[in-house]
Amino acid sequence: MAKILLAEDEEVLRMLVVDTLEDEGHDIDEACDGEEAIEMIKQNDYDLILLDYMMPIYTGLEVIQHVRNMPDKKHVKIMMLSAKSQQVDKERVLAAGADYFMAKPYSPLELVERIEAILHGEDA
Amino acid sequence: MEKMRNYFRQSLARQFVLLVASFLVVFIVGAIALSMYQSSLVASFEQKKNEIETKMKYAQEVERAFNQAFSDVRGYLAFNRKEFKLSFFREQENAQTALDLLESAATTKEDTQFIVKARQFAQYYFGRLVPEAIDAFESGNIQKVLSLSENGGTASIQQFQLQMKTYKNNLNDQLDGTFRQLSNEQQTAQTAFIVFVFFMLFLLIMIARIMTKKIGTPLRALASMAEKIAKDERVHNDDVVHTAREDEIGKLAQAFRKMLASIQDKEETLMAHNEELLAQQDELELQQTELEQALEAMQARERELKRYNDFIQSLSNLLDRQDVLQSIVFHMASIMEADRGMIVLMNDEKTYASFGLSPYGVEQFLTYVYNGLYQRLFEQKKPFVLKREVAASEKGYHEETMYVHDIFLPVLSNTDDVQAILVFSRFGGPFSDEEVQEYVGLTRQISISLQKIELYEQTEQARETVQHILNTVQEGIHFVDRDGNSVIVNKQMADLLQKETIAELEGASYEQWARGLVEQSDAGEKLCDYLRAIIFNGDEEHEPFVYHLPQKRKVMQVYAKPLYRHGERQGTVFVHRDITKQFEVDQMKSEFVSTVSHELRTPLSSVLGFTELMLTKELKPERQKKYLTTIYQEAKRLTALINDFLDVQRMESGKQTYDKKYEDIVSIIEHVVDTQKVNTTVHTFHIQKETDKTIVLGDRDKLAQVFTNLISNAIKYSPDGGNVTVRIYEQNNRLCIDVKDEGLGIPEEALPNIFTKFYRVDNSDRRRIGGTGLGLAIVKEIVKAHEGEVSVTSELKKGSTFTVSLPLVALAPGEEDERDNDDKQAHAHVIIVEDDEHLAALLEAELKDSGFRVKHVKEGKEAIALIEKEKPDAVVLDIMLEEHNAFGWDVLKQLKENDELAHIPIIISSALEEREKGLALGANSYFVKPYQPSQLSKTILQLLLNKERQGEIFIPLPQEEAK
Repeated sequence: MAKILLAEDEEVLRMLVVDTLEDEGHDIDEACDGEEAIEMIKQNDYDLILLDYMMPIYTGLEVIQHVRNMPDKKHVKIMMLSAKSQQVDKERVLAAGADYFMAKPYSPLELVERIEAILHGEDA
Repeated sequence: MEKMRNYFRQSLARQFVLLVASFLVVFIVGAIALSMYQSSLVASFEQKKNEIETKMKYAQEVERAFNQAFSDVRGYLAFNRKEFKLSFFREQENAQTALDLLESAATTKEDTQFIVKARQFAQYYFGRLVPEAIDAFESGNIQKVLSLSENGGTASIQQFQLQMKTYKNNLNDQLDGTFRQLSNEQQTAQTAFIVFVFFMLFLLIMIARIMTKKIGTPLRALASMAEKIAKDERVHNDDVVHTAREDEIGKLAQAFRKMLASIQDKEETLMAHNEELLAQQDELELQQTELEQALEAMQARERELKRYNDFIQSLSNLLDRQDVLQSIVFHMASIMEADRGMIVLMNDEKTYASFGLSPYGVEQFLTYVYNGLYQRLFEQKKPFVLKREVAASEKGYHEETMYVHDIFLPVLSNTDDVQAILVFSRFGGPFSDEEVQEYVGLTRQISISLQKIELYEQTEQARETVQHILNTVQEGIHFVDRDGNSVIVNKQMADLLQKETIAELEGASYEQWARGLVEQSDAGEKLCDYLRAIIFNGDEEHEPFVYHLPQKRKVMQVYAKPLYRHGERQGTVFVHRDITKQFEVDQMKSEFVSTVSHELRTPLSSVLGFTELMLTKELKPERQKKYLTTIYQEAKRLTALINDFLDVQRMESGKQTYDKKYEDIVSIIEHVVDTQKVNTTVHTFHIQKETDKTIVLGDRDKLAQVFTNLISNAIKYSPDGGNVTVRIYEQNNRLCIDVKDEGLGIPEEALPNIFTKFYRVDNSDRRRIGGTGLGLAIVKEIVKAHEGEVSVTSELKKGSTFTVSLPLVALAPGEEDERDNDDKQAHAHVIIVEDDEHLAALLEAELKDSGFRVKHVKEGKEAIALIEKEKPDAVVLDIMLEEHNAFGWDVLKQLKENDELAHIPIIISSALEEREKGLALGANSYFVKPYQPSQLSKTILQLLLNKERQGEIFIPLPQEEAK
């Protein structure tokens, strides 16, 4: 069981991800925008952070920058979920400090598989 | 001998040589004779002198011997010394010898006599006296000795000595005489010499005389004759003398005579020539006079030309119309010596210039320019001169009658129209015909000048027009010659090059003009390279170059086109386009794609995700239902999004069609509110209807979309609920609808962009509000298509009000009957004759939609009856009617035969392709089935408009059809 933060402004997608991951027995926190996400990251230690790219207030990229500037959060694992699926977008995201990237629309099962792999240190 | 004479006669030189030779011979002979004489004189003198001197020597020897003998004897006698006696005997011998010698030398009688006497004395003395004396002495007979001396001895000695002396004197005398003779003879010789010299001189003179006579005189004669000839005196041929001579003079004289003859011959010829020449000279003088006259004329012409030139020069230097006219008047007045004058152009403005005239005079002239005298100019197109008495106003202080001469000159254009008229007044004297001719010549120049001015003005206008055109073009246009100099530039380009005016760039070099551009560009160097490559390397094909102007926030694109004339490159035209919009549009497009991608993927993710979960997992029924509901909603959302995208796309590209009808806006809004109500539980809806005129002409569905978007926004952006009020009212003759919420409001800075596609206000409170960002853009497009406007006012945290205003339609609901009545008068009435019910209904609907009143009949007879009764504005006629005895053609014919009905336009609607026949029978238009019903209504409208009946027709046409 891992502690995971999901930052996603679309309620429906939140429901999808949360339902799926809770079924796998993970503890999920939800944030609706970038600001909320940063707040929650400050206060909690997450095993994995799932960030939507297009979010109000702070975009996923901005959140990553904030997080990477926090002294104790340099190595927290971050996965970016984005509708911007082109290779350049992926590279930009990874360059900004994200560890993983997943393009929308994603399969919830695939997402679970990747998260399990990451949590077990198998994914690259 | 004769030969010899001839020989000498033929040559003067020979004669001269002969004379000189003779002279020399005489001279030499004379000289030799004289010198020989002289030497003979000396020789004979020498001989005689020698003889005498020899004789004198011997005589002296004799004397000495005797004297010695005397002294010896006396010594002997005195001293008795033998040696004396011996000496004496020696002397005796000496004396004898001397005497012998003397004798041998004796020549004269005196000599002989002296010798005889000396011998006698020697005999006496030596033979007897001395031997006696010696004997006596020796004997001692002194006495005897004495006696001997006294008796004769002494005396004889003395006598002898005397004789001796005499002889010697005689000899001396002879010598002297010989000298004297010599000197006398020499004197004679000298005289002879002098005589000889004189003779020689005489001879010389004689020779000179001969030569003078022979050469000098004839030469002088010839010389004087030559002189005479030289002096042009008449010399007769026979006057030439000495021609008979054979020598040089003769030849000379003959030659001279021949020469004279030939000279005389020649002189005669020359005289003839001379006469001829004199005649020619006369002629030449005549010609010269003529030439002088011609020269004078030329000079006069030259002066005239100079005036012309000055005049033309002054004309050609001017390009301003008024200046030219002023110059013409001034120069013409000075050429004419006129006191006042005027030129008026026969254009609409009556442009003029005057000289010495008052404004009043000018005005009067211009007022009456088409009356009176001037009319003559227009008719005759020839100048004329008037002499008139000076008017009182012109006279000044003069009292006597004065005359003034007025000249009226037309300036004819090359089409022989009177282009301008010139009027000049001269107090000084009349105008001669020549002057008038000269002025006519000048008017041609004036005409040319005026035409030139006109051309210049046209060119200038054309140039200005071109410049204006260039300036109205939004692109910066720049024509640069091959050296990079700026030639033509428009205003936009000048702005771009940071110059205040276009003039600043006139002829500017590359360095001058390019700096302004390069400085402000972000790609200065590259832009520079681009321009240089094209201008200086003459590169032909180049991709357009894009550069940014950061300060002006502009994106520019420049492209170049080479300009050729006669195959030679003249330069390059650069066009700088402001592609900021396009650039932004491009950026927006990519943003749009990105946004669309995001917006589409989100619902798609849900649909796919939940479907996958449902397919792969065993779920409780509640969850299944929840998921299915979500899937359904997301799918609907996806549909709405796609519809919105398509709508925006269609609207923006102008492809959206609107099905416009008269609609009551209230019913539309009520319907929308009813639909939206179900989506919220926290909002209260109000519809305030403040006017009865709520009918609009519009597309019901699209208008519903407008209010759906506005009301759903009102709900979305007031998440905490509140009132949503729709107010319908009339303002400024327009129907206005407010949609007001009590929600979040919109930040002021966002208001201008709120209707822009994909613009979404970024606000912390909006995080949960979804949307495509297209709703308001769609609203704006639809309202615009209904000739309406949409605006917004908002206050943060208090709410926003969106106002839609639409054009009012005069008719109010509930007045349907009245509207029908109105229709009868206002709307054009169309009768459709068509047996196909289906098609008839289609056409009827179309025509009604277009605002026509429509009636439909199926049969021909019925149709004619109805048409007669109602007299419609137009008839749509089918040809293949079911009724067999009345084809459409018959209906058409009958209608056209009826005077009352013939004017009604008939549009044939048929499946038959018999356009020609239909039009021939009087149909106004022919439609071959199948056709677009809208085409029919357009055609009918067009026909009615063409009949100029539009005043009676009131057709509220939809916008796009009116276009």
